[in-house]
Amino acid sequence: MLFNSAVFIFAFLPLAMIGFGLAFRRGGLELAWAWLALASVIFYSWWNPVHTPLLLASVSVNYWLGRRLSVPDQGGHKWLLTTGVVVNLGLLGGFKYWNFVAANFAALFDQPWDGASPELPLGISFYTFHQLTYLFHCRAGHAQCASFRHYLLYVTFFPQLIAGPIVRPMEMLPQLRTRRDSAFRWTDISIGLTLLSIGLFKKMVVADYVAQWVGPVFDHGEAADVAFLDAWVAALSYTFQLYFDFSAYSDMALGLAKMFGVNLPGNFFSPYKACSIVDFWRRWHITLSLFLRDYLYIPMGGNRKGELRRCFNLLVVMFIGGFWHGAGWTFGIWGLWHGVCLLVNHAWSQSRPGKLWARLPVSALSWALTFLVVTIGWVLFRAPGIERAFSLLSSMFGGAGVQVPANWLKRMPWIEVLGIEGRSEWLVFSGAGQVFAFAALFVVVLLLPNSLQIMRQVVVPPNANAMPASGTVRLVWEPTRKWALVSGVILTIALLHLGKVSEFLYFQF
Amino acid sequence: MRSQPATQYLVFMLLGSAVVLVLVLSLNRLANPYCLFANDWVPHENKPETFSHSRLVKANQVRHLRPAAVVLGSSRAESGIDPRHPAWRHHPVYNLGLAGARIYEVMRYFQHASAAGEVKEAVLVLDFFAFLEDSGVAKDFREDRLLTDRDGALQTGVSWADRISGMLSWDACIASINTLLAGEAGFRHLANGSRNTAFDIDRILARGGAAKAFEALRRGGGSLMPGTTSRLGEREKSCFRTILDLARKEHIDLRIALGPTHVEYLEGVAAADQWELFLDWMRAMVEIVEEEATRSGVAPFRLVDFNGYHEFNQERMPEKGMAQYYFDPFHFTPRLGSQMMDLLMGSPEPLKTAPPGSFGVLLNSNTLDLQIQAYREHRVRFSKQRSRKE
Repeated sequence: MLFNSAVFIFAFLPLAMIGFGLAFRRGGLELAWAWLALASVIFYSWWNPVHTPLLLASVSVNYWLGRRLSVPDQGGHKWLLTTGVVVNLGLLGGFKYWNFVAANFAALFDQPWDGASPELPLGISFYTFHQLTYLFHCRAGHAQCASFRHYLLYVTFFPQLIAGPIVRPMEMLPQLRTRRDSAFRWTDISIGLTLLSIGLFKKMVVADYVAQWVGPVFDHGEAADVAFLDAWVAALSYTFQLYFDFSAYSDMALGLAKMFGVNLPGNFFSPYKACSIVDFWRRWHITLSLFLRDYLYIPMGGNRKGELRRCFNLLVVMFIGGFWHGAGWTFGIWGLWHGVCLLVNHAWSQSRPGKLWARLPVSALSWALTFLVVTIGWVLFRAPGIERAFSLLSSMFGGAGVQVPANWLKRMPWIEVLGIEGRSEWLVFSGAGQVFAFAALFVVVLLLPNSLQIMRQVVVPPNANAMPASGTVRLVWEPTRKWALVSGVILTIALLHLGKVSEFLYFQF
Repeated sequence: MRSQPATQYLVFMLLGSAVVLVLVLSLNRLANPYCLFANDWVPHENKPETFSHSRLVKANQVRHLRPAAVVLGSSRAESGIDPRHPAWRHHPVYNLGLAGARIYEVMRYFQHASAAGEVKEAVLVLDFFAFLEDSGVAKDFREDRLLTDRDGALQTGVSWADRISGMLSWDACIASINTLLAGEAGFRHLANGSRNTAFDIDRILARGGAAKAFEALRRGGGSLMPGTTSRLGEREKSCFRTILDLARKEHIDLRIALGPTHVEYLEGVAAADQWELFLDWMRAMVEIVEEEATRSGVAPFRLVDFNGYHEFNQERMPEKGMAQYYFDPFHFTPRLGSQMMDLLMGSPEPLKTAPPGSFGVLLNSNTLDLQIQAYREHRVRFSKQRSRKE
């Protein structure tokens, strides 16, 4: 069930809320949480009920391991944790990476391989990391002693089950134990609905609109045929599609959780405003970055074992982070690309020219370079294969010549001297209207505040201290008529797009 | 603005939603882009959405117009057979040709038209590709928008999905704006359901003319080119039987044409190793038509073959500009369609005396073998001529 589907908006969500309210009235908060956990499992099963037993078995095993790890004086914690890590990563690996690894081994030894990948259980990457976080916390002595219903809800809570954020136990479990007088607060519902409206608008109006310019180029039969402007339009479109898609999902997750009185961690903070690649990773998929830092980079030694080891650790972490998104070399290379860029960024900022540069008013140049690096990364990320990725990058940088509409040559004949050719048939490039659309999107991502900034007076994510400072923002949400009308309008415009259902990109990871 | 309690916030949010909904409903009713309503508030002959939503619009237009005569088939019938041809005896005439339609969809729209009014006359242009096994239906085909179910039993034909997408969707808003802004340019469909061939001609000319269109289809294939399917579908044959039964039951004067295709297409069929299958298809059509006549105890419906290696189908494409009889290897022009109509609707004598292999041969079990023999001979002659030229 997608958040942007009619069945979710008009059936599941109202029923989940009514049930939550009735359960609260009949049996108090604990019964209401139990109902919500049940509703979340139904939400998960809607896709493919075959994978529900796997989810429930995984939850049960991890809950049992977590309880054992939470008993302070009991020995064997190391083995229990190792078992937990092996079981969770084994499950993830078996479903997601087995076929990829086997196919690559077979290719390495020049052997045929025709094994098929098992169907990937939805959200397995997220709920695996979720539960690993829980085990690490239990092992570290931050004993949560959650009840099974709390733990089940912590893992399966439908706003975050499929595509994150990756929630740490202390970010959610204490909220489940907080007493309340009523099932819902009208203020929470207002805030939640507003965030849901913003998210639906971003996804259904913006992300799905630019998506039309992505597939025809990335999936084009003849990669070498992709013209210069087509390649740029597709690369920029995917850059914006991913931004608005992920941003939309993050807003909706926050909003839906808020409607039930739960604050989820922020996961997205205007990443394209970043002026360095280090800054980008503080803003993009924040909970994954923190997970990789705390449970992979730091345990590997982080920056405590010398410069060379730090570089190695960073590259390994980013490589693994890339592969977490999918079993394909393009994802690994995307991760490595970002790893290399992070190393360059660190080296530059510590160098003398870098320090001088930081004092100069050249943030526009830094931003442009960062955006370019990120866009190149998304081409690697989206391309169906390595060859296609490099072919598209080559087209973007003139490797296949520079082509412009034939009428541009008539208006500016001098550009022909530069080797620029005229072309009349384009895959996706469509001229001035499209350029205007991109300009508008740049304005939105660069100049407008993000949802967390707009909502900062009423939404405080539990990981607020790990996020960039909000800065001074004039556009702040208040429960006024104006905001209500605007929210109603954008919600309805988004709902008018319900006829075209498209999946969130992060669901596939 | 002063802060309001949360409940008031939700009320105003609902109000914002309601305002948008009212505006959207009004716009879509005003423009009526998919012909959901019989009357336009702002009359617009040009409904540009007919092209992209032909199955929806045509189902609605048939319901409103209640035609007395219909053209059935794929886009070939849609662009080639003119409802204004003088041979039609009953009016209004509506062209129910649907792009890419296989015989199942043709049958369902015939049932729909018959249930909508009193159809007395029909011309069915048959396509080889429409009878291939597992041919399926188009993505935008919906059973619930038609006035009968597949067994012919009446149903409401009210599709809530159509109503919602036609009145309360963003696409409908864009379609409404397109409809309101549409002038004569981009006029793709006429009110009688036919393609506006003037638009198609402009488009083909803009792309370099008919020769380029032939070349593009030769290279690109497309859904109408012969594929790899090696059998005629039993379900598809059964749909054809249903069409004949319905016509007989409702006393509809049905004329059936094996629609003409350019020899380039026939050579494509042969190259795809489907030549014998194509001939089997002809045999099957004759067999089904005669079988129905035997069952009914009356004369068979008129079945006329316009295929073959005759002069019309061997028309040479000019280097620039348009050909007379073909837009591309599948789509014949209304000029050729008009000649088909003369033979289909006129006296049967010219058909009976036409030599095998010529344009417009009456097909039955007596003429079939001669016709196939003529095909084979003409094809050999054509191949020799072509290889000599090359």
